[in-house]
Amino acid sequence: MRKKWFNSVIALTLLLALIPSLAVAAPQGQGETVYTVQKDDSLWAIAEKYLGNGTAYIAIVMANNAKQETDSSFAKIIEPSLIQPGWKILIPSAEEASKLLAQAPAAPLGKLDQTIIIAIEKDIPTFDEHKSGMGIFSSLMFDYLIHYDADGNRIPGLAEFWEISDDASELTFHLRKGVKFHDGTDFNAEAVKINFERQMDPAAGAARTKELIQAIETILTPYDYTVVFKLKEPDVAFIGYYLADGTHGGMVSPAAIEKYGDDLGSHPVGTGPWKFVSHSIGQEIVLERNEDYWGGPPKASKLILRPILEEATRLVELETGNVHIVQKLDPIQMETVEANPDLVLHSKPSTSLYGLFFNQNTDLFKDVNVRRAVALAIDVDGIVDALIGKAGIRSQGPVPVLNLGHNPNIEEPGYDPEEAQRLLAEAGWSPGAGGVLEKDGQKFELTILTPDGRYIQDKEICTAVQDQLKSVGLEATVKVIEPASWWDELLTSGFDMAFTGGWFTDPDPSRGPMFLFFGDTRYNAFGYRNPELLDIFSRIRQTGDFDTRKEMAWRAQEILSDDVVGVWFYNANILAASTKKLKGYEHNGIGFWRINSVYLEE
Amino acid sequence: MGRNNYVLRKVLVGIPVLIGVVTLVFLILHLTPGDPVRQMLPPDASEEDVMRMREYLGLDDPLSVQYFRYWGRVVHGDFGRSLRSQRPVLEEIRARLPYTIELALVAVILSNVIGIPIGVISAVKQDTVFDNISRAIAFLGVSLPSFWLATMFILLFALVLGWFPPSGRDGPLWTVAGLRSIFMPALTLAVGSAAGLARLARSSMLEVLRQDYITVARAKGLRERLVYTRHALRNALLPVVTFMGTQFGYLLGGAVISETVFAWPGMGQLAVNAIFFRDYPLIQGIVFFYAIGVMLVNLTVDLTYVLMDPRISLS
Repeated sequence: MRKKWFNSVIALTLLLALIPSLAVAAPQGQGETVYTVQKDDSLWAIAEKYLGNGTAYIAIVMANNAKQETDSSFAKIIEPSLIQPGWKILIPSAEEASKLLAQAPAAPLGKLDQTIIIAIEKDIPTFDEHKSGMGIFSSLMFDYLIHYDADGNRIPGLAEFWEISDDASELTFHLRKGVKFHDGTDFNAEAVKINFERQMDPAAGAARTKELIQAIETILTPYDYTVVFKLKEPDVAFIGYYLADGTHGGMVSPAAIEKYGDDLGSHPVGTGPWKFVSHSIGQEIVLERNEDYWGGPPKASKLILRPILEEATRLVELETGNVHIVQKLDPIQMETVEANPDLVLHSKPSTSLYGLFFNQNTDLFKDVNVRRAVALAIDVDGIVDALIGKAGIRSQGPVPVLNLGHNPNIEEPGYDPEEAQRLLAEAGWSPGAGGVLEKDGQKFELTILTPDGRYIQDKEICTAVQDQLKSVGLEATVKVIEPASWWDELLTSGFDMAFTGGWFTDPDPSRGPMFLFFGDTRYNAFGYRNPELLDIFSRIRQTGDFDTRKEMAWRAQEILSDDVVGVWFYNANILAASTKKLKGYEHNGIGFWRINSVYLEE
Repeated sequence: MGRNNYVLRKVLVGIPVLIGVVTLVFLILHLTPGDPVRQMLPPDASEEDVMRMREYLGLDDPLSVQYFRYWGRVVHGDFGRSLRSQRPVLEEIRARLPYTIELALVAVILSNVIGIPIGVISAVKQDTVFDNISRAIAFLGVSLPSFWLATMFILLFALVLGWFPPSGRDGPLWTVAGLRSIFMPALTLAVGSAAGLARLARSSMLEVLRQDYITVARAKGLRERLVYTRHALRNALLPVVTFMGTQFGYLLGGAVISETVFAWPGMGQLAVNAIFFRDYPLIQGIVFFYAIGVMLVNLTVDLTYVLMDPRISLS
């Protein structure tokens, strides 16, 4: 009897003791909290208490470190597992935290015992990520510190979050914990360092050795899961060039590097959603589900990539149901796919740009008004509409529309053959024999250089342009080059206009074809060197602030547009087709394949 | 004694041919535009990395140095490594060669089974409806481009009728799936040479049938069937065998198209990719083995003559 009473007192005392702590916990969901770290606190526990979920600690680090930049009374959390009593830290509101966490990977999917077959364009010669690698399929087996989402935004990959110093010379990455390579090796800061050391070793034959040696001062690993890149020169594009999806920076198991060496190309070991099973040369590449993938295991159990060189065969394989996705589609096949009720067409604009560029090395196109006249004589809208159709979008200005630095205020010259003729007459060109313009006894003859089939409708567009130029009295010859020798021909042979362009994955304002073709690079075969533009190009990668970079890119586009350095045609779409049965496929305009959620509906 | 000497001499004659082929391909590859390093590196790779990669692959040395270095390795059986895959060229070829041989063999069998009987029957039944129709078909077969035929076969047999898989190799020859998957690529390859065989067999047979000994055979009252099989056919087939030998080279060439359209994992596909990427060592290796293959078949054809025509001796 007495014992029962005693128990009740204890229970009551305990309850009362809890009241103050309940009061403290009350701010949950009511805006941000300034918190002082207590002895034995951990970020996990704090996140659990304030945000209702331990994994939300990443949101605290992100919100706190952002605050710390403007208010140094807050402590900077460099390593989430090391926080000190007395530190003042900021805990975001639950709403803010969920926003920050929205970028985190999706919950695991229900698993199925299915094989998904993808028809790919060509076999993959080597799986060595640091050499030529798997290209757009790297993301199936490998993870990068930073990934792109379907719209080209940078999202956390193996780095949960990252910080770029103001002058962009120090990049700090906070790595995901508990990630294992397919061979069981732990992923950590040391693994990142070993990956880059291999790429920088001249004996390894990696793709970007010299560039990395020139760029990187040191790689520090202050904590097990923190890696810091100290760069020799500030470079904001470092992430887009060397660390994100589509670079050669996919993380390879250090144990595999040690074990296989030069033979790594046949033994890929990454951390990605799919594990390597086998490769029958010219026939198939078999991958299986990574049951322990940090982003949740893929839904299907097996993935087979079948290289089929011929486009028509790829489509028939899809139509007969032998494959489930066709990676790349010829634009002329779009109608067939759309007309078939069993197939689905996937099409998204990419950050690519193709157009006709003027060669200003010769006298013909030195005068900006002559260049403008040629631009005015070409009906770009009509050509893109007729020849490209749904395979791309009409380009506006010298930067792809999807690039984050795209300047929407750039005006295209438009189609005005009369104005073109007036400008040409003003420049001294008058009609001669056969309607061809002449000046000082010299006919207006020009050569248009184009590859055949390297870019969508390249040769066809040039032929259409040839026809339209004829109607204003310009005699153009189209010189067709075999795709494989395109760059050599472009850089060495003479031409007046050339059809070219490029595809750039990283949508940062500091990147895009204009840097390649009009900067101080080997690819500037066009004799155009504008001092203000070159100055912008040399500074933009060293500018840490995004808005400033954007302003610089906008100005660069104005200069290129005012100087009429080219005629911009289209941004190509990335095309794919799948059977209707295939679900969960998210087509990605950036072009990378990290397909975890695909499955077949029975 | 005669035969061994003959074979030895043929092999010795083959050596300068091989040297010539390799030299020619080497020059064509290095003197035409196109750069493997540019194809390997990202488009915005720095000039330094391009130089470094060129150095790494040994492509920065003078042509003569590269040429003799290549031969130095080849005589040791080292064909180098593929620039793209970094695998030894021999390994790449070994992984593909069996599939091309398999395809070529089935194509040869198909073209013989189709071509020779049609030609022979055409000759025997000269100027009948059968003769006219088969001559028209043979004419089409010789003229139609094989990439077009291949696509039509896929559309008809795979898409509309669903009898055969559109592409790929589904297993070894002795399985049903394997046979089904090899049928269309082999048929595509066989059509051209079957048509050629039919035309040749017909004209050759017609010529033989005009010979005196045929008249004699008939005069001594031999049954018509025996006249054809015992006297005419054997003599008529001699030029056909020669033709088959020369066809083998065309078959290897045709395999490039057939293998590409049907995603057959043979040498043809390897060659297309290698040429596209200017994978010098790989292209050289492939051509080397093609040349040896053609030479071996020619030798076999020469040896077959002796078996077929006792008048020919190897000397």
